[in-house]
Amino acid sequence: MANRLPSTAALLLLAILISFSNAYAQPAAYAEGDYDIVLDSLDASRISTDRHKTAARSQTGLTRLDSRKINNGFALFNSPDVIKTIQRLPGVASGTELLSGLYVHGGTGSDNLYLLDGMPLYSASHLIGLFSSFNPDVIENVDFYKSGFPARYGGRLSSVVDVSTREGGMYEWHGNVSIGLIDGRFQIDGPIVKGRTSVNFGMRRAWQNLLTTPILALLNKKTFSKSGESVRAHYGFWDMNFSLTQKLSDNDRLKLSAFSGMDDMDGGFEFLYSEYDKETRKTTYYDGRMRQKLGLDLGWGSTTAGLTWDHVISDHASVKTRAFYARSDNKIGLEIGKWSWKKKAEDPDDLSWAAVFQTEDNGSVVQDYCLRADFDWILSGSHHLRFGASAQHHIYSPVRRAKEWMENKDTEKLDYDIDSGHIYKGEEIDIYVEDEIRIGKRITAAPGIRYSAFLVGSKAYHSPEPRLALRYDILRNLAFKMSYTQMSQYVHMVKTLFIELPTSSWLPCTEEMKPMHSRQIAGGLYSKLPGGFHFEMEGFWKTMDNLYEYSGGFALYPPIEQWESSFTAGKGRSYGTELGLGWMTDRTDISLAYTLSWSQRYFPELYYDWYFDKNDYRNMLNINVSHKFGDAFDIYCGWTYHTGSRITFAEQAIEGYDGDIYTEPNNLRMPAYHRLDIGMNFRQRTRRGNESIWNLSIYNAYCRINPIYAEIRINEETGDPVGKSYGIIPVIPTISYTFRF
Amino acid sequence: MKKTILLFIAALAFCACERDFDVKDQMSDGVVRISFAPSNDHDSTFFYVQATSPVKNGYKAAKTAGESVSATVNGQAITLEKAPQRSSKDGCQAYWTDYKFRSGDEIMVEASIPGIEPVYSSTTVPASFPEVRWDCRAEDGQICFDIEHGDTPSASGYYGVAVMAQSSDGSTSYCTPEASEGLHIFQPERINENWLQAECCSKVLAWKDLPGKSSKTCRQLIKVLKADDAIRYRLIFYSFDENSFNHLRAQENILNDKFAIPGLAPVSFAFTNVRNGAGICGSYITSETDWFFIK
Repeated sequence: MANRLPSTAALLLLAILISFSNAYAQPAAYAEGDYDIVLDSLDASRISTDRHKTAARSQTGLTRLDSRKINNGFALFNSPDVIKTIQRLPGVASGTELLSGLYVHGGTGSDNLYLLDGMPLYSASHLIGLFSSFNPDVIENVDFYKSGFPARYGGRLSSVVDVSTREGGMYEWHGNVSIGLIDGRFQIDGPIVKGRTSVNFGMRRAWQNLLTTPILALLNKKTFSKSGESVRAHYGFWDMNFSLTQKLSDNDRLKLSAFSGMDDMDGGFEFLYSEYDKETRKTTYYDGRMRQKLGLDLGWGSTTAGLTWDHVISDHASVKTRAFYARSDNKIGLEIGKWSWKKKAEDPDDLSWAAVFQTEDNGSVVQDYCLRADFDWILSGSHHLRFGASAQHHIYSPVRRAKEWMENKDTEKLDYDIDSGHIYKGEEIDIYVEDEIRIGKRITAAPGIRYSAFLVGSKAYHSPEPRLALRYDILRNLAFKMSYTQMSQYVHMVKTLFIELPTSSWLPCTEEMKPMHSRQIAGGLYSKLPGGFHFEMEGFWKTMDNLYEYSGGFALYPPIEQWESSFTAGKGRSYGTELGLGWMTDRTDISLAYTLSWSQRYFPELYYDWYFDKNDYRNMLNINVSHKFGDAFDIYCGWTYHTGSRITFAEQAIEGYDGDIYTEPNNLRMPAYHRLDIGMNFRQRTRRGNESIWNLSIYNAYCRINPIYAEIRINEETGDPVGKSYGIIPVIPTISYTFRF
Repeated sequence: MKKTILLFIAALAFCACERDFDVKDQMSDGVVRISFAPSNDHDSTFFYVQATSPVKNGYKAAKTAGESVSATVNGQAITLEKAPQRSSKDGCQAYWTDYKFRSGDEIMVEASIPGIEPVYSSTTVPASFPEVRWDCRAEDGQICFDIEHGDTPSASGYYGVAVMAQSSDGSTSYCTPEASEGLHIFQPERINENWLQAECCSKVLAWKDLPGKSSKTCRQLIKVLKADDAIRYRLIFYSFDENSFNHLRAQENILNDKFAIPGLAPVSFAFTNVRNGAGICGSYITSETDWFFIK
């Protein structure tokens, strides 16, 4: 058994705190508005933006987004987006297009826990990170934690994105239909049996393949007969949310919820060999045997399905029991065919031909089966206890198949045929207990501990994870908070590329690859000022152990059988400070988020010292403004800025040696990333009380081509080095129409 | 037609979105680069020192002159004699020592060139290759070596093996091993690195033995092409220190680093353990079998 004990100091602190709180806790009523009371049938209209309440919670690093804020916010590419909204919060970096994700407090991007109704989503994005998998139409609220994680959360190092979907209305049917340039959405919810059974169904689908597929088919039909060329290109995504709620009694409620989302991208081309005659200026195409084709097929997605039973034990206690299945799929396939020919010397008309074929099918599937119970017990006015446990069975199944063979009219010869796969099974259990304790009028503490264990093969890992959050009310609307958390992650994202493609695999820790661990301290001042102003300033220090970086050289897909030997272990640390300012009225919402941070890595097999991470963004600034001009028109805009990503350049050379001399990884910065997004909604009420909305959004309004890659060239005249950066995402205007009923 | 469209799209996507930015201010000046590979397999060990040509100055190199070098083994200074300059072109200065390095020797080196920050580095000569059992057989025109060696569960080991062939006229050459997952082939003629002087690590198939395994042995299967029956073979076993292995692996990876070039993957960084500079100070120990024939 691998022993990972929390630091003595943390345990001591926890013990002192628990003793202290038990000795001095006074029964007292919770102050109104200080605590969120979770009601399962909470209507979206009853939730307001909770940013004002941030000062009233004991947790640091928590932001709650409600459905109204998400739906009225940035509708980039037609759909309001949860992940894009979170990327605008302090302490969160987005990376850059094509490589975008959530990089929270120096995290790796694969260390965020995405929960949809308590079920994990391994893949939370569509279209290489431009869309998130969360359909805004069915979302009730999103809790985002970047520090101060309560003990009920675990399994990832850097953040928790806990998305709750809305139950269908018990008495009325509602819904909406939205059609945009890129995708369309449909959502409907309502009662099946009034007051007892309700349903909520939402679906999204990308459009463009419905256009590109017939256009390319027509184009190919027209040109194939002439040139023998054909092109195939297809991309599409869809996702579906479904929930069925049954009210069994006043104290019992059953909810069946499911999600499935998939991206599918394939493309390829085929052309005939031809010969160009310079004299006649004519191109002669050979018959169909002399051709080449290339095909690429990619797909990725997630599926979850679960049953939740909510039982109210008494006025002060309830239990939520949940059983679910979660699945993640990644696949990438490649097909190459090349038909060559030669004329026989004795008979030029007799063509001898041979064809070479190469196919690859790589994939990775993760399946989770989980049983979980969470208890919620308000012991007294000063104690709110939560405890629970879960057991999970994980199955990780990476597969790699590759084959190459040659054919001619007489024979077939196999060059290689690899069919390797491996099934890793992991058993994970965790238990937790956390308490929210009111100590006098000014102090609130939330101590907790989580214990998790993971069994893989003959190896067992376990990890006690102490958590503590403290709040001290300096003034009525000014609070000081601090938190300490330890987190563990038993699954690694094994990837060879930065870009978000299904070339990556989720694989568990093994005998040789240890679980990742993080420790984080955060603290700061939080204030709600008169006149709608709010202010928060938070600092953090975070360390991460057992991070893994690919070091295997050239490979599109990581090796399966001995993948551990192609990855090298290291550490990470991140620290910084965040500032949030805002002003909010009924009509206007202005917010500013600034982060000053450092993110470093230490991989002794790559470099002898600490070096800056690729996603080390020294300064990040987000400014968001939205304003309602009455009920019919509202406008919003947001400006995002962060210092450029880091990239490795060989900045030395020596005479007599061909290779480059590197001095430090990630040694240079690319140009800064910034963009402006603008959107506006034109709303109209129909006579029947329905609402129609025209949305116009402009992503990257001033067409800043943000770099995803850079290289260095030498100016031949001056001899000076010049950086050249390359980007591909220009201004993208979109328009959509939504009808709500 | 479609090719034109695709080319146009590609040009739009990449060329039209090109932007210049200033990098000179971010770049470092020239540094000192050293190469030192203490081992038990040669009588004299060379120490190379050279000033780099920084990109910042358009690859204009500082002159390698007036340099000073020093080395200690287990805290005792050893003598480094200056060797005649190999070439006036490459500007590399060579020193040598006839010290007989052994496992466990702790070596520290320092080098400086006027006007450039001094560099220093260290290595500990690794233990010998662990106890090994091996077998070989000929099949399908190949020779398969089945090598099993002891494993230290608590620490990583960095090992390698090369197959040397000797023809009837006495000339020797290294056999090229077949690559497989998890193994690295270090080929100095590709790496072009003067750390690998005199083919000391030629065509080595190398691996890292990770800690944490429950088994007490590590097994490798190695295949080379079989020549005629008159050829005899010998196995050379290498035990690298971590620095040597990391440096060699990084050099090999850089050659294969196709996805890093367009920025899609991490750059295979050239490992160095030279503080303030570049290059490598890494050691290794070799052992070898007797010559044998394979029928």
